[in-house]
Amino acid sequence: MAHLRVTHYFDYKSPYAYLAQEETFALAEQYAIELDVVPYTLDIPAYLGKAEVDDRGNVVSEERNAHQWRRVKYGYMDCRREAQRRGLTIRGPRKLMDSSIAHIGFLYAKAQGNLRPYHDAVWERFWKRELDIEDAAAIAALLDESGLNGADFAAYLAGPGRDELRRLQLEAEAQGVFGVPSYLVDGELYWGAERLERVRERIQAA
Amino acid sequence: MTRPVLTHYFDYKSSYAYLAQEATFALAEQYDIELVLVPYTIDIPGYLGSARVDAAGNVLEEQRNAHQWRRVRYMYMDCRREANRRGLTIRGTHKIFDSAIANIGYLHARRQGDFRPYHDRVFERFWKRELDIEDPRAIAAVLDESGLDGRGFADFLAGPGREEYDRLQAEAIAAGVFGIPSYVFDGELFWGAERLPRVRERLMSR
Repeated sequence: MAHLRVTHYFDYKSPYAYLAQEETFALAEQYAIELDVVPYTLDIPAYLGKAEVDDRGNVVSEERNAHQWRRVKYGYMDCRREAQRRGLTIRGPRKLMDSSIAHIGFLYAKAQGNLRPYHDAVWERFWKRELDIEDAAAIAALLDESGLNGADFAAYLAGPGRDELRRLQLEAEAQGVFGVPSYLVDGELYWGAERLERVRERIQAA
Repeated sequence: MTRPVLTHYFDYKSSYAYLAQEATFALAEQYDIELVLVPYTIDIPGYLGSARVDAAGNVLEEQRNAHQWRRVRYMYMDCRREANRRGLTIRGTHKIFDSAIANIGYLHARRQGDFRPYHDRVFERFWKRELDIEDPRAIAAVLDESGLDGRGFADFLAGPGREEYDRLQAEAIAAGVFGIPSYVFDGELFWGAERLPRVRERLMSR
């Protein structure tokens, strides 16, 4: 009998998704499920506008209304608060990063059957500001370090990897996904680590 | 020695706020605090765009992108899911209601005494679609039914009520509030009923 599939959507540039990783992977250890981890590249400007700040946090450019600013500031404060409880480091990025390259790196690692070392390293180093996820060479180096073949990454990134990421995005949006972290269980969507308790109940009821 | 104050921001047109009421009042019973309710009118279009639908759910007019639609649909589904667990009725609205009148009704209720009967009735009936919160006479009738003065409401609404309401709105924005339900304890902001466990931790660690 096939195990219940639980699909988890993440985006490396989301601190909330970072905070959810531990509990997400714990699900697969607590329950006999098939945990399918899938990147979903958020379109942040679509609901939060965008802005760029300098080293001191002064706004260099912005397309963001007052409401969106309050929401964004709260998000960073709330994530730092949660991170402190857990002993994780979350340093705010100065601009919206393009996480698609790192996501394609994930797909590359996943296709080779070994995603955790790469995945965990990207999270930790990006949020410590020790990894530029927009640098394809840095991602390839990380794949090498994680025991995978980084030499073929550039070709994957230029073609099939990009297509695969796009295909997964459209699939996710067809299921209603808009944000991360998200969980899909038997067609039912849950957004936010705060809904993991409901995901657990759903798994138990299956 | 004065009791610590827990400020709770609500808006009758927020189904998430409705869902949070029971747990919020329960906190005030469990801990020796002063619970202060403050109405805050969320700016839904500023974040989720806006739309009007007919009785069959067909969109009559909209200013909402695809991302915002997925987010809105998720919120309706998530609220119904949470409501079903709790035995509450939450019926989707055809449009974004102006809740200012009902929110000012709350201000009128609380200066007279016990606001709870008014407060609970407005939430329950609005979400059952049994109360038009944009109708000042309907709000006055609920005030009367709740043992308060409905006749003086029109004057309050036209003058001091609106002023107090605007002042509270500006204060909330200055405190960083952007969404509902929210809680402020000791200057620290928490958004969402999902953060109530954190609020409880703060109350316990005093």
